[in-house]
Amino acid sequence: MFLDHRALLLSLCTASLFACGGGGTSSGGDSGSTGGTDTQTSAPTSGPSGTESESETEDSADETGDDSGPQPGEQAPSARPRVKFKTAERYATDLSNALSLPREALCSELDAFDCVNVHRIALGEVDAFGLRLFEPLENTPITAPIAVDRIALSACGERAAQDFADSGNAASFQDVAGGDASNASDREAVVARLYRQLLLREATEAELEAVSSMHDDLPPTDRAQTWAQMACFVIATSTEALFY
Amino acid sequence: MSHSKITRRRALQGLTAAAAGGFAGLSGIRPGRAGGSEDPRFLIVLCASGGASIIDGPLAISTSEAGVAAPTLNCFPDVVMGDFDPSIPFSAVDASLGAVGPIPVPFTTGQAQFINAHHDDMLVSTLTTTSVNHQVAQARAVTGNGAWRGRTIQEAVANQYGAAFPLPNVHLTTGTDFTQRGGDDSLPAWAYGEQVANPALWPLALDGSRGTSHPVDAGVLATARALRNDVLDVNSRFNQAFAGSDGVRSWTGLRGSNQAAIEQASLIDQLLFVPDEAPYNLSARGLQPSPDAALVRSVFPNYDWDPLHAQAALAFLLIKNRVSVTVTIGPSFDLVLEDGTSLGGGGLPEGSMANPPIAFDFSHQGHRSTQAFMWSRLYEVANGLITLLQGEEWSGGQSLWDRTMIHVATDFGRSKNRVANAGEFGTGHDLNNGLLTISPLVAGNTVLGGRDPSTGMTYGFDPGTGAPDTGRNMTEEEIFGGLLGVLGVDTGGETDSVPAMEA
Repeated sequence: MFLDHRALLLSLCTASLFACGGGGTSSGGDSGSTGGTDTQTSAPTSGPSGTESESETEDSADETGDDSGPQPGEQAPSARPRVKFKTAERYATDLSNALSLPREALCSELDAFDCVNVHRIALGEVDAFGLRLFEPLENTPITAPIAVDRIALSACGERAAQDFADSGNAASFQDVAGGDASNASDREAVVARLYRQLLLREATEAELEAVSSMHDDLPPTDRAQTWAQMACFVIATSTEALFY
Repeated sequence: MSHSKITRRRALQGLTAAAAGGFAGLSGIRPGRAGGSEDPRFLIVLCASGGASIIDGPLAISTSEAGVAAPTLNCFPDVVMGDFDPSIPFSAVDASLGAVGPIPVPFTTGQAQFINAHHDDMLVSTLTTTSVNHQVAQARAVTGNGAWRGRTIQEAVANQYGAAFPLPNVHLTTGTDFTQRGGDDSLPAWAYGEQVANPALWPLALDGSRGTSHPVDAGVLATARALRNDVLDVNSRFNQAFAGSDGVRSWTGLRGSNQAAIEQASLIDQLLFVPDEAPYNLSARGLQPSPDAALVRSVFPNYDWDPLHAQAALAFLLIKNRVSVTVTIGPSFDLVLEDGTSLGGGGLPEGSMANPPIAFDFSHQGHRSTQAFMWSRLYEVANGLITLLQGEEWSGGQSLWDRTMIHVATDFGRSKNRVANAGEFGTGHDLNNGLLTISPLVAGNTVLGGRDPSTGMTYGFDPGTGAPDTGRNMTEEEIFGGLLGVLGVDTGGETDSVPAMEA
């Protein structure tokens, strides 16, 4: 019963960050969750909370006469923005679950080395026994964002390849897996699904349109599958997907 | 609920900005300066973790030198001492031993060969350190005990010369405090060390698509990144809430133009030194080894199982390809055996062990053999790097080696005594020691200070004239300042140069 309530709460929170983040203070705690933003979504120490927080924030701004606050539809900055990087293993697990790919099939470097393992130190892991690295690197290496791109590009490409090869059993791209992504509504259905799978929330209208319209900027060869791969990529490598 | 409207045009504007930023990443965002990137010096810090005793390397003492002190002093039979021209102030141990401490692996040292080849570029500066704790001593070894607001020598060199280099300061060794970030937070972010955990495969992380299982065209990737960076992320509620966090700010700062600049430099084509054969099979993924890969593998043939060879191979390529101005390499604290080595009875085959456990610090178990083995290991790697750098022209007939320094950094020395006439014995940590620096930039074929052959203790020198001074010991601050002076780093008067150390 407890789990059911928690799941419900999580889905509400992740469906709208604003709803749970309200005025934007973070607990700063580390529950070890891999669920996107839920660790930052404790009730704020002041300001609005709960599902009506958006309108309450606007009301509050009106009452104080402060025009510099967030405008309608905008998120107030967190006063204590203490989000954490997911690190390699946590990110890989999330990606594996979201894209319905076995962890070991996410990606490999040179068909021989698990890519998460290859880039694990750059992505915040430690290696006490092999490299005597007992703490994560103090500074994020410049190669870290590139390593994330490689992992996500491979995983998204693999998901797209499998879906386009067997569209009847597609896990993410069924609306375009027949090879035709010319219909905007089909693409938006895919984008909406990717946001649910990768970020555990609904996409906004603007996000649907933006990711969908990327299709028109891609070269014509294999455009549907390329768009599917890159639509997945842009969401899977967003800061929202990488921090919690 | 309203949303900020994102149009394709805005996404393309972002893409254009990203592309422009990318070009700026290597050539424009880090302004050069006089004495800066246009005229760099290169620094290789070769970390001798565990305590490289100077009187077991270039200042080794022979039995005849030690005289009556010989039985209880760490000194060597005359027959194993290298035979040098009298003008060479160094000594060497050339011996064949049957074990490294308790590890039954035979080996032969050839230190005299290295000294004969490179004595003109060798400088030994005596030193007395301030800590016999490994971590503390290692950190002080690269900061001169905090001589310059805590910045490390690598950071100082990167800050002076690295502005136009993609990754000015690269740390290829792990697990020591020689690569700890210094205490000066005022430096630009790019001057701090970039850690490389796996030198053989790390170059793959220099391109977001090439060599992956599902690569895309560079233009497609750029389009997607622009959409992500400039449209989706900046407008997401997550980002609006948490963009101020240190983690998110660091992340978004690293990608974009910096990321594009790294990729546009095609470093992945220059730095992969592994062969195009199993298990790497580069061509199957559309990649190829660096044009210098075969050369560096011939110099460091154990790259596949000896981490120090792999580090040295990449270190050379980073300098050769103008990626870095300083690299830090060194043997680890781990036992390194050749793949497939059997640990059965009868001992290990010669050459099957590259590194004893805890490196130089294995001297606790067996000082003489450990020091001999490890000094030879350092000489072998240094010789390889020098050979490679001598073969690369900088300009005007000058080679890369002509503007490079290999500095052997170590924690501290070792205790000087032994059980009477013991051929093998254990030692502890000792503050008293000396440092080896190899470079055409230093006063070559020189020992600054000296060592008392009856005690093994070193003494100092006059920083200006280099005259030996048995009444003083050199400090970490003095040697740090001297090294920076040799490298031409402008310290703004924060440290004193040591003219005697300069060529």
